[in-house]
Amino acid sequence: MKKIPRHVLSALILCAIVIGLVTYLGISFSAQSEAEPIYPGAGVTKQEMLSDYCPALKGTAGDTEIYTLDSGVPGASMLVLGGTHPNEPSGFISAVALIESCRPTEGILYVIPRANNSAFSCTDPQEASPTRFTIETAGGSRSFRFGSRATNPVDQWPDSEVYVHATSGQRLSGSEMRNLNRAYPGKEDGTLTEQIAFGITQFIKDHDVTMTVDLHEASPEYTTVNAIVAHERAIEVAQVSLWSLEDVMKITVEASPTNLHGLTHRELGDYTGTLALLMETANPSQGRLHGATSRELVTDGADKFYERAAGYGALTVDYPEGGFSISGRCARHLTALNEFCNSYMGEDGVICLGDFPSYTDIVTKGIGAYLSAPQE
Amino acid sequence: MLKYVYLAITAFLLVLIAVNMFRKKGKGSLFFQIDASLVMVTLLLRLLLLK
Repeated sequence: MKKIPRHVLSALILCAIVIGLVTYLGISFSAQSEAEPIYPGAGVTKQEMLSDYCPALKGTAGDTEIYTLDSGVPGASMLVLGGTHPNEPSGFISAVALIESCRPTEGILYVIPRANNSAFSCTDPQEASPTRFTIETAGGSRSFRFGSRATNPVDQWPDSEVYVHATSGQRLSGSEMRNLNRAYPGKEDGTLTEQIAFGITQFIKDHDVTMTVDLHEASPEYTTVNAIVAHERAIEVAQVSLWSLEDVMKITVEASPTNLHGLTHRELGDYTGTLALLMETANPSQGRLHGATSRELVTDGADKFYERAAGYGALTVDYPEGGFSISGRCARHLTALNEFCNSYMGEDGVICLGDFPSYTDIVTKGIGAYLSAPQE
Repeated sequence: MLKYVYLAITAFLLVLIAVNMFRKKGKGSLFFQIDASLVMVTLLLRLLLLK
């Protein structure tokens, strides 16, 4: 029998190791495309897909669920967008909590928890982010994906050198082509990201949505954080809400810049009749000053470097005792959403989110108390 | 279309590296082969659009 040369044998062994490694990595990477389950609560009356409003999205990674929570009592309506940027998890988790726990008593609540569904299937390059994080509920822990700021390049590629915003002609860095919050009001025959934005804009127009709130997070050293950004027509609602919100949290209202295009608080206000608002909380896992980007950093938000930076006055927000926990961040979002509803009194009626937990309740019990237990 | 050009270039590089890996003989060839296999991991992931 002919002996296999030594260099061929070593090459064969290495090839086998490579194939094994790629199989393992491929399976673990592909798991990020599997959507975590959302368990609609008693308040959910209807479930649709975004492709019902932009048919080009059907069968693509951009198609996503829209949940309707109709109280049955005529009134105004609110659309909540979670997961515009899936690396800002409190927006997504707050949206899931609404779907699973909220029971409006007046008006209609619409929720799109994974606004950019494609961006949940990858993480940002060179950030070493975890792909998942867990939240404890009364019946066990639930795993959620930690995604990317932008649409997965596998679904939309390549980026041009310069991104020209379709309706304004604004020029931004090419990577912003895949940022949903730079794509509004969207384009029916545009890129996947523009089509998602178009679908959401179309949904708002078709349902004549009174108020739209886009839930975000930002790094604690960023200027616009712990803030409500409001379109000029929504400033009044934001200011009135502030009177109550300031009793439980430090928060500011900022006017949407008229010369920054593609964002929900600008374009949805300009192109539809909705009152467009955007919320920002402080998320240290997005910042530049933190240590290891671990699952705990995402959920507990405790980081010794941020704590030290706060001591130097380098942050734009206070460092909370114990860190920027996801329960605290969701509490800010949910409390503000409830206050926006309480503050609105228009010709189309009011919105009442029913028996809604207080800020203190959410912080002390944890956001997991408002999520369903994992089901088989 | 650009995606297929990208995939074709990646596949071509992968084949070149694999062929060279089997041709490398002599002292120190194992280190070259380990180098090559590390590059192959990233190229294969790119070929499968996983990275």
